[in-house]
Amino acid sequence: MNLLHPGMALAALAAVSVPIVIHLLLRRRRRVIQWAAMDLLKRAMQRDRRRQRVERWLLLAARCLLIAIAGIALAQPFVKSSEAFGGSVRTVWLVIDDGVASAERLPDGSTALERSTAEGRRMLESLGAADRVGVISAAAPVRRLVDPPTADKTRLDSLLSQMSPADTGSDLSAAIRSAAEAARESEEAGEIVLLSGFRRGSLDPSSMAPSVDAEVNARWTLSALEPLSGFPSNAWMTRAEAIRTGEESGMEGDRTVRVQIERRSEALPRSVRRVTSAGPAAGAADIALDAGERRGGADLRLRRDGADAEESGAASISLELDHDAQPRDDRLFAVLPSEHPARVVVLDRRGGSVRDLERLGSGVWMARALDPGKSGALQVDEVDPGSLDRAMLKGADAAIVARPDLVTADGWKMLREFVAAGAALLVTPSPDDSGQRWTESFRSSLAPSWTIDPEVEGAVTAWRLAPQQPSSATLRQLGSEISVLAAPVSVSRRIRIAAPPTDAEAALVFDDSTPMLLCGRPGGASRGWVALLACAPELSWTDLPVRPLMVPLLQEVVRQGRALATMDAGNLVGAPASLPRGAAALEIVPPAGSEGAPRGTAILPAGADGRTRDPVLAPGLHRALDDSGRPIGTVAVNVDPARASIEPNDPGAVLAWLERSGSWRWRGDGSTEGEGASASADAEASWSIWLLGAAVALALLETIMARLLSRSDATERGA
Amino acid sequence: MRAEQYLAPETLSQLAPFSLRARMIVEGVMSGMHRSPYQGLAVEFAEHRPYTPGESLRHLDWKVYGRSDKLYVKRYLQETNLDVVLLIDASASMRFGTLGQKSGWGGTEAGRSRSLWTKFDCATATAVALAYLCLAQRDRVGLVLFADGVQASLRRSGVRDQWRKIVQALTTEPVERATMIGRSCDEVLATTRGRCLFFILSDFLFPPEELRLALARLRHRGHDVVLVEILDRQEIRFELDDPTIFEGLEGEPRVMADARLLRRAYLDELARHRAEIERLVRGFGYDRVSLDSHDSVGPALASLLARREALARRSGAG
Repeated sequence: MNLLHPGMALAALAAVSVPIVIHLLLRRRRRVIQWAAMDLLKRAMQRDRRRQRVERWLLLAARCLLIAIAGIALAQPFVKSSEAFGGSVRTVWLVIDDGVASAERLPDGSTALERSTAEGRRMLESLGAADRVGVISAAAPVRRLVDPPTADKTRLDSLLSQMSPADTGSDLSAAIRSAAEAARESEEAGEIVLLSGFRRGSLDPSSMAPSVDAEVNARWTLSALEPLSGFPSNAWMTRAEAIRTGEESGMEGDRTVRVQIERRSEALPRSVRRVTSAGPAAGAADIALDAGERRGGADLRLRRDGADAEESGAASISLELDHDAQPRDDRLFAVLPSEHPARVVVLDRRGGSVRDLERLGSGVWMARALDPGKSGALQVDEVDPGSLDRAMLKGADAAIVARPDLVTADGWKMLREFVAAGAALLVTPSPDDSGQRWTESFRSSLAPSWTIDPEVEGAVTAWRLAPQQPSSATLRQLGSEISVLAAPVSVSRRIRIAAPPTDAEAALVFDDSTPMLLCGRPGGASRGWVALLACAPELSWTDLPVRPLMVPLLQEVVRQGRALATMDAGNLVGAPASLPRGAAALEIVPPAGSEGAPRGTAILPAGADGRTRDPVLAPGLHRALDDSGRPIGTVAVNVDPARASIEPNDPGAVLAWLERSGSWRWRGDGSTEGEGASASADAEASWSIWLLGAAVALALLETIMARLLSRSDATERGA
Repeated sequence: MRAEQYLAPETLSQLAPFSLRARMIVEGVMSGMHRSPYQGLAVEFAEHRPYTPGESLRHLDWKVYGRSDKLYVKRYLQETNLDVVLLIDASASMRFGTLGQKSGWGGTEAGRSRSLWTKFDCATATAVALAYLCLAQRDRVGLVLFADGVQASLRRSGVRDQWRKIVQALTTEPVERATMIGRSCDEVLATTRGRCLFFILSDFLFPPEELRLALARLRHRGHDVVLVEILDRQEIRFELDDPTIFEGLEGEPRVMADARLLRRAYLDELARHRAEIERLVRGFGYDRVSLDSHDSVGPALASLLARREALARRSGAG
């Protein structure tokens, strides 16, 4: 029940004290009279004491009640139709999609989340005063924001007004499941209202639907806001990577970052998008996309001193795309690889000074290829495989195993740890034909899915490298030159290697399409990089050491392998983040320009797999901390473009997905329920008339009662 | 205070057509209108009865003996005067009154200080009216004022001046003590010879059991009694509205009560009390009349006298 004029009701309640005060004053104001018939008086009092008390309090209560009812009647109480006619109290669970997709800007300037919360507020207005509402946030991880449900509409309205889109994706399935669990625990009937735009980022109709048990389906109404239609243009950055250092390009003081974007929309007209670098490493570039073109890229030149350089030489950058309908995926955080000279450990056994080129070992060739001019651009340390220990690998960025047959079991274990910590490893076959028993150790330690034939193949006619080499991340810097460089190379002995394309890429292939160089992440690791050459780089196997390809191949394998080994594997909001070597925790740092504290815990401890134990819930450049809490690196975490997608879903497909869990109906875009709320308001029954009638009846009753209680009839008077 | 002031003209005019007769035959020393219980030689033959041997031959009816040869004794009804005793309650409860006095009404010590017409004033007015009437028909009238005992008394007398003495006694005696009608009655009977008509004027606000004992003694001595109950209108109607502290006139402790809520119960108790007194009076064969001190005395007394006249005629005594 609500009151139109609550002040009147309060005044009436205060006025109730008036008859009480009068009653008390009258009790105090007694006059003294002399009386003769005292015996009769005493007998009357003894006989009537209880009745008098009851009648006195009855009269007082009637008078107080009369004033209270009159006051409440003047306050014009009314009851919502749901109370007046429904009778029972309803419970409503509002499931609000506040995932990252709900940040979408609608044509009217509001966000998809604001559309949902506006519908939620309309729902609140249509409810009775006693109806209770619970709120569930559908952004992962799903949370019950108001539990148990409350009838405090002011609090609910305030909560809905303050909701903002999260950076994580939506988990509508878990949210519905949570509401269904709450409904099952409740003994009352009610309604589950799902408020979402149902964009592709919020819901994949092919995903598993939640289960809502039959009892809840029978007692509870399930309704959902209709999916948003239209497909506005949305672009996002897919990658930002350093392609050339200033030293290499000769442009001292700058770093070049290649930025790639992708776009989706109903129509794909020609457009130009601008990428800017936020913060001190200022820079900007335009990316032109032709009509129908979905992807594009541009090189962005950043000032080296502006980038947020770390002790390790890595630099973090924050890039921003000009805003479109989904602003949350227009920002990209990245950590550029270190520019410090790489240190490479070459595992080879030297057999003394060899002057005959034909007898030079693969380790020597590779060491020379890494630092041909002895310039010190790459620091090369040669280590005997049999004496390998952790101290030798400490601080190294890459290792090349020229004699895998000499690596002990412990050595393979150390190499496994070395790679998993974020280093690069190149393994070449043992020059000795009979020495290929290392392959199983390699596979079990580093690449369980790879196939390596330990038998060395010999060819009467040497194998040539394919004239068209594949485009690979490892040799990307060589570009189209790789085919020219690979053409003269011939191989007379080799081992057969292969790997599933999902686990490794073939950076070089023979003309019979078998891989000559396989590259990929070690099995089950989030960091590190492993490459395997099919032939030993010495002249008894191949003429590669004396071909122009040898130097750039080794240089790129080490440099790019180092970069790829430490490159973020695309840390996304809503998932655990990969941490640098030695990190014990990740400190969440709100991105510049963001409001308030980030959602979730500020310090996330690292797990055994080198990732945070808990998912990261905020994008940004977060600090990796060691055991002592000292920052040791930066971890970039970005919004998942797939979860931010504003690609529309077919309403039929959404309804089909929903109906796998129960009988859902659309609520319309507020209009239907608005009418319902209006009708509900019209149905409000005023109780004033009834209460005034009751007050008059009570006044009459009080008068009669007072006369009956205090006066005798005429017959008695005459007696 | 002039005695006439107690005799409002309307009271006397209403009483004048009636002669006061005792319903019972009372003993009188003077011839009068009342029949004597003593048959003898006096005025009027009553009946014959058989002669008893040894009895005096003085009242033997010789004429009957001569005609019938049987011995009969003649009996006579003797006309006597009536002795009336006005027994008036002068206890403190009779000081109660709520009617404001008007000039010329007269009054007693009981109500003069507060200018109120008290129950005692009403009793005085009634008593002097009765005395006047009795003296007018040559009956003897005595007066007794009682409370917890006899306060004052006047011997029965039929002289004209007796009436003034009665008025004098009533207007000067203090009215302030508690009521003990049994004891008072004993004292009165100890000094009363012969049969009398007692008018007891009181509010009778004492336990009916006390009254029963007193009436039983009077009945035992063969007296006739008329109870004149005098109550104030406020006592009869109890028209009080506010919470009130009641203070007893005879020394009872104070009582606080909401008069309005108490009214019904009080009136019930009063009715029960009066019914009990009525039952007692009828049980003894006496008369009772109730007076409202705010009303005129005449109509009630006239009604009483008319009733007694009718009864006397029916019994053939008069």
